[in-house]
Amino acid sequence: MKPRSKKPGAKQISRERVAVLFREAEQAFALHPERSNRYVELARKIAMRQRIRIDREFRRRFCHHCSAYLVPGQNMRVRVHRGNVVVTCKLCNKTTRYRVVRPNHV
Amino acid sequence: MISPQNVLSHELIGLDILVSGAANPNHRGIRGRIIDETKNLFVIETQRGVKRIQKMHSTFRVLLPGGELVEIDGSVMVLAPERRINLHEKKRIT
Repeated sequence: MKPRSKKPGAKQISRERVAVLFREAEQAFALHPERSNRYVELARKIAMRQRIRIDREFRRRFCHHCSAYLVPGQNMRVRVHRGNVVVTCKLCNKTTRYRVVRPNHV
Repeated sequence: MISPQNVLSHELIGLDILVSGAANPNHRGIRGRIIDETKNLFVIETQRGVKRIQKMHSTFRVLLPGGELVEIDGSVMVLAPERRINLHEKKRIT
């Protein structure tokens, strides 16, 4: 497949930008949570356009439905239910489930 | 990391910025921290409130985390933040 980005190093820059935005989102959350949500939105746009995965350390720190930056106990609910971690975003009330038990071990 | 060579493609949110030249004289000299960016605007948090400065016809001085001061022409970066990554090399003005 032909690469969409012609500029060499664009993916590396994108990864750095995603990391910068998540760091800013974390710092801004206490005073300006709406800025945190905006930074996550930008980080996702960058990742989608450059087709890079968002790093593991950041992947569970936002709502995959509404792009809100999530902080446990502040705007998200984390519960374990039947081998899933169920994360509820308190802004959009949608849930995301992460499997914690391998299916063949149940 | 962000450097004077890749500043046009890199993330500017969180950096300190000074509006060094602008078509609107009231915008000149505004300094603060970039808190948001759109295709046409930088949103800057200053001591006198949040200011929205257009990129077109403005020049900015940006302080990079490494301590370098870079002068950039806003007119070459009138692009949405996620599209700036692919900004072509020859458009750069130092």
